[in-house]
Parts: sequence; structure tokens; C-alpha cells
Amino acid sequence: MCTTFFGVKKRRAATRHSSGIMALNADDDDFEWTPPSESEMKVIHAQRERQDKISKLMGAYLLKGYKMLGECCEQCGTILLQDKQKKNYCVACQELDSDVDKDNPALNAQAALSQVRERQLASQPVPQANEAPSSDAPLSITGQPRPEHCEGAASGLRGPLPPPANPSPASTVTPSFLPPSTPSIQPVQVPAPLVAPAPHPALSSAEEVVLHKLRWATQELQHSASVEASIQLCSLIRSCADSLRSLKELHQS
Amino acid sequence: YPDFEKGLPNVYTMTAIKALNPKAEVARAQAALAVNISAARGLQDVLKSNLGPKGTMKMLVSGAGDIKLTKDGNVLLHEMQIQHPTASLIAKVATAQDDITGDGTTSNVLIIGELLKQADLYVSEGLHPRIIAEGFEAAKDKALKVLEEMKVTREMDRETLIHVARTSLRTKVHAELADLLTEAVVDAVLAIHRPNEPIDLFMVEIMEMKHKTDSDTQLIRGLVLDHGARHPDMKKRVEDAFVLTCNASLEYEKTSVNSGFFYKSAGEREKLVAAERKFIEERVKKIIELKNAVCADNSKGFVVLNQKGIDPYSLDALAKEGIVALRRTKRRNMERLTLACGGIAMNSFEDLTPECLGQAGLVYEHTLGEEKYTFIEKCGNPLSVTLLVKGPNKHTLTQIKDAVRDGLRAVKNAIEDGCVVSGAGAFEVAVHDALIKHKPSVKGRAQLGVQAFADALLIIPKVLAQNSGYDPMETLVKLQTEYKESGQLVGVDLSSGEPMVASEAGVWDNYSVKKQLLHSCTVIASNILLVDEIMRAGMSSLKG
Repeated sequence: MCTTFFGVKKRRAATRHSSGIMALNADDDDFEWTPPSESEMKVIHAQRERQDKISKLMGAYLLKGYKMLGECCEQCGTILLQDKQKKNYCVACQELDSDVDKDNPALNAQAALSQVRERQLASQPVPQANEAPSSDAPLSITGQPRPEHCEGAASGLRGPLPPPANPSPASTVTPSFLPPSTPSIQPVQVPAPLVAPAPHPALSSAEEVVLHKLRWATQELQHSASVEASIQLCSLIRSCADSLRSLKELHQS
Repeated sequence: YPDFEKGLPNVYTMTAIKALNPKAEVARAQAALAVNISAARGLQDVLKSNLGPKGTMKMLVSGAGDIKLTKDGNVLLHEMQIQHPTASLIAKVATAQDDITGDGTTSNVLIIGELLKQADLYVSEGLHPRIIAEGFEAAKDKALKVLEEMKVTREMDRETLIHVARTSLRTKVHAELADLLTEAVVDAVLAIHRPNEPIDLFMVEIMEMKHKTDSDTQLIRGLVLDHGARHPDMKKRVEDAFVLTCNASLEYEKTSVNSGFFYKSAGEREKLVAAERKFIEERVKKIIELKNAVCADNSKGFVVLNQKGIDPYSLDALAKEGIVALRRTKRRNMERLTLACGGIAMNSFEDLTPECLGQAGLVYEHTLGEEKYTFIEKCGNPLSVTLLVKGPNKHTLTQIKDAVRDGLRAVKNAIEDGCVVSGAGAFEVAVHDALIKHKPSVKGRAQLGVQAFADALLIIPKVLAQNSGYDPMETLVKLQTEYKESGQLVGVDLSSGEPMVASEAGVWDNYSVKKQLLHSCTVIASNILLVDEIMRAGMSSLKG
């Protein structure tokens, strides 16, 4: 839509997703209003669609007899619903949330920042990036970006980009949208020698137990018939993968 | 120190109230607005499918298993459990709309939700909510002016009232039943309407009978009482009767003074009994005398309707004289009886004169299962009537009762306003067009508020089309082109999806409904937009 705005004093926005956008433009004392850029429009559209979905779900639950409380969820700010058993339920966290939401610019400020960053960089000549196959956490859910990558994107804003170094074989696969220069700045994935020190007995036994739980959960998931149980099993698998990853990191550090 | 570039929330903006009470829960600025808008849109989604004649119904099942089928926005909002302050604010608006006009509750909630959604489009891009609220105000004034121009003042003859009632009833029940009820409702209101006096809808009694089908609902020009005579010898059917309405006890009552009496023989005991009854017998005698005085030379019947009780001995005495007596009639029927049959309600049996009697053409009793109903019909000029609602089961009866109530309100509003407005979304399309033309004359960025208001009003024709199964955008475009070309008020024809001239199709809305709608939704939407902080500083863990 074509609208003309006059200068508007910028409002302080304290929410998670929008403050990321505002931080991009300028600091809070800026009195000049500029129309949102294209990437920001995409973010706004994505946010709107998410809100639409939440409203629909909420309406459906209200009809089922859930009570609309006066409280908001601590994580996402959506209005909480309470069922007949007095259990509180947040439609956004339980139903809309998924692993993909880490990438969703409407939700995650880091993903939003990285998306905008990517567009900016896409206009620059892109150097080749070697992609190495993922070497650790074989059971992690495929395609899930690590939060360190997003941090890397954000930290890329701080200073000028260091020249793209040869990515070490130890760096993990990057999803396509990340700027290729970040693998070298990985604070965690240090290009350390692949030879890890001798595995600590407690760590390895912890790994065993977690792997075992993971296998059990996968089997249960295959046989489960209810949606609730499947959702819980998937989150169990996710947390097992997370713990495995942290264990591997402990190994290597 | 939190890293601002990572986009973490700025935890160091303490609001003032947190300094006083750290446990206070606060949602600030944009988060507060987002929460409120989300609550309003949640409600809007619930009610969307209910709008209009082709809207769907909602079946409400209570904990005990009772079923209620309804389409009324007000009823739905009250059955849903809502503790969220904004959502309950909207529910109260619906109640107010229902109290004042009786109709338009669903439209109200839809428009509020849409106003907030349109405002959100601008707010999320950086426009201050105050400017939008100003735009809403300016738009509302213009819309009210358009309403004044569009209203059609005409004589409220039976034909127009039938159209108004049918429009209102068709949005509540299915079409054939709506047509049937229309006649009944309009006749009822016309019957009780006294010129130059406000219509009192209490004069129309709504009586339920659980038998036959809903198409047997009819208007009785008289009264239906939900009990019968209690004496087996009394006549079940009396024609051309005098009616005595009274509120005096014909029962034996205990004395309020404790007294004692000693008797020594059976004879004295007999005298005691006779003396106790003497009081009542005097009264009964008076009634009998009156009856004989009035009915001596003709074969008219005599009916006594007493609000208090009649004890068996008195009933016996009256039955012997051929008087039909009903006891313990409802209090609200007292006023209605005198209006229906004439006569005066008597408080005591002294000074009974023929002038205090009323007339009824037919009084008969009808037994239905275990219940008896007494019909008092064929009164001369009844100023009080009864709508007899028949249905096979409880939820049908409730549905018809609610619909009838709304229909009565609609007719009453039409008569009191003296004017009507085209329905079927025609009004909204016309207002949209006028607001767009008026927009350049509004100063500054409030123009955007006007634009938002105009777009929000269009939700009504859109939802009407959507509920009938047609594409909302396409129908809307057709309506707008048609309105521009012809200048006539065109609404959505729900059977074909094409534009139709609402006045020719006989679809009329109440003027007061539209006026109340515009006022209340603007006020509520503006207030919600201007909410900057939601504070709950009391017992923050108060579980409902």
C-alpha cells in the first residue's frame, strides 16, 4: 500500500521481536522515521500471519470450553487458555512452535537479523564456501541451525567482516542462508584437532544413557497413536539430541 | 549487561509500578496492544460464522448435558468463559447492544475486531495509535451523517413492519419458521401498541408448550394461563363469560393472634368449625350474589381469577353455582388480564359492582400431558396478547423464544424510530464510499484512521458473502462497482451472490441498531488502541 508518513518520533518498543528490528535502524533517540525496508516488511507480514493463526486457534479452543485467562505466556506473550482441569495452555508455544521457528524471522530476533544480513550480503559478491559434512551429533534433527551461527551473524555486525578463512574440516555444515564468512568466527566450533582427548568415563556413560533413551523414544514414536504423545516424544528426542551435542562439546573442549 | 544488538528485551526499562511492587505484572506498549488485538481477533473468529441468515449455529452443551442451539452473539459470549480483561470488555459491549436495541451483537463484535486489525496494519509500521483513534472519531461523525441521509422515514404500516421483523428473524432461525413468526410478532406488537405511548413489551406474554411442531406457534389474542381449574365439577369450557380478576384470599387463614377455646360438647365444636368458616363464606356469598345479579337473565358464564388461594370448600360452593374459578394465577398476569379483558382487579370483596367485571368470548381448558392450560380468548379489544410457542423439544423452544424476543424488539425499535435503513450490507458499502470521498478533507495523518475505519466496516458484507459460500472479495468488488454506477443502495443477495437493491427486496435494518453500533464500536476500539500498559498489581497469582 502506498501511504505517506510524516516524521514520527520513534516509540520505544520493548518486545522481543520488534526490538530487534528497531535496533537495526538506529538507536532510540533518532527522530527521523524512515519507511520500513523490504526485509522488515517481510518480517512484519510474517508476524501478522502468525498472529492470524494464533487468533484462529484461540477461537477454536474458546468454543471447546477453554477459559481465556487474563495472563500472558512468559515466553511468547500470547494469551493463556485454561482447560477444565485447570491446566494452562499457550497456543503459540505448544502448537505453532517447532524447530523451524528458530529460523522464522517473526519469532527469533537473531533469525531476523541474520535474514536481513543475508540479503545485504547477497548483493555483494559471494565467496565460495566449502561445506563439510556434519561431523558430530549424528542424531540431531537435520537442517537445524545452531544458535551459535546466529550469534555469529549478529557478531558479524559488530565489526568489519574478517576475510573469509579456509573453513576447517571441523566446521559443520551451514544452512544456505547464512553468510559464508561466519564459519571462521565460530566461537565454539574451534578448528581444533579432530583427535579428542580420551573420553571421560562419566561423559561416555551419560552418552550411552542418552542414546538409549533416544532409541526408546524413537520406537515409542513409531507406535504412538495420539498427537499429544507424539508431540511429547518429539520434544524428548530433541532434548536428547541437545544433551548429546553438549556432551560432544564437553568431549572436545 | 544485556547485549542490545542481540535483540534481547530491554530489561532495564522499569515501569514505575514495579518500583513499588516488584510482583506487579506489566505488559508494555506494543506488547500490550498486541495482546489486546489478539484477544479481540480471537473473539471475532468465533463469531464470524454466525452472521446473517446463512450463518451457522452454535450448539452449546452445558455440563449437565443440556443443549442450546443459538446464533445470538450475546448468548455465545456469555457462555464462553473469559477472564481476559479486553475480551470481557468486548463481551460487555455486546450486552449493552443487546439491552439497548436487541440486535446487532454479532456485527458489533466483528466490527470491533476488524477495526483493531486494520489499525494494527498501520501501528506495526510506526503510526501512533492516538492518530488512528482521532481518525476513527472523524470517520464515525461522517458515518453518522451518512446514516441520517440514508434513513428512510416512512409510515410504519404493517407491510414495512413485516419486512423489518422478517429481516431480524431470518438472522436467527430458518426461513420458513421466520416467516411464520413474522406475522405473529407484528400482529402482537400492533395489538399492544397504544398511540403516543411507549410500547411496553411486557404486555406480550410468551408461553411455551412442548408439543406438536414449531410451525404451530401462534398468536392468541388473549391470555394463556399455565394452570387449570382445580375442581372436577367446574366447566371446562365457558363461552361469553364475565371475568372477575381479584387478589383476595378465599382460604382459611390462621389468626395472627393466638387464642384458645374450650369446648365441652360436640355441638360447641360444630359451632367452632362453623365460626371459623364464616369469614370465608361471607366472601364467597358476595361473589355468588354478584354473579346472580349479572347472569340472572342470560346464559353468560362467570369466571373468577384469583391471585391468592381458594380453599376446597369455597371451590365447592362456587362450583355449585356454575362459576369457574382459578386460583394462584401469576402476578404478572394480573395486569395483563385487565388489559386483555377489561375490568378492574379487585383487592377485596366489598363493593363488588358489575363495572369491575371484564369480558371474554371464550374460556376453555386444554390438558397437555400432566399440565393444564387455560385459554382466555376472543376478548373484545385486547391490549395484551400471548405468543404461544410450540415445539417438540426444549432447545427448539428456547431458540424460538429468543428469536421472538429479538423480533419483538426489532418491531418496537422500528415503530419508535419511525425510520428504517437498508440492510444486507448496503449501508456499509455506502458508508465506505462516502468516507473514501471525505478522506482528503481530513487533516493530517488522521486520514489513515479514516481509511482504516472504512475498510473495517466492509467486513459485514464480506462475511455475509462468505457465509453463503461466495468469494468475499469478488462479491465486494461487484457491490462497489454497482453502487458507484447506480448510486442505489445495493446489498448482497445471499441466494445468488449478486448485488441487489436492498429496499426492493424488503431487507430493512433498524436505524437505532446501526446508530448504537457505530457509536459503541468506535469508542471501544479507540480505547483499546490507546491502552499503553496492562497492569495487574494486586494478587498476581489470583487463580480464577
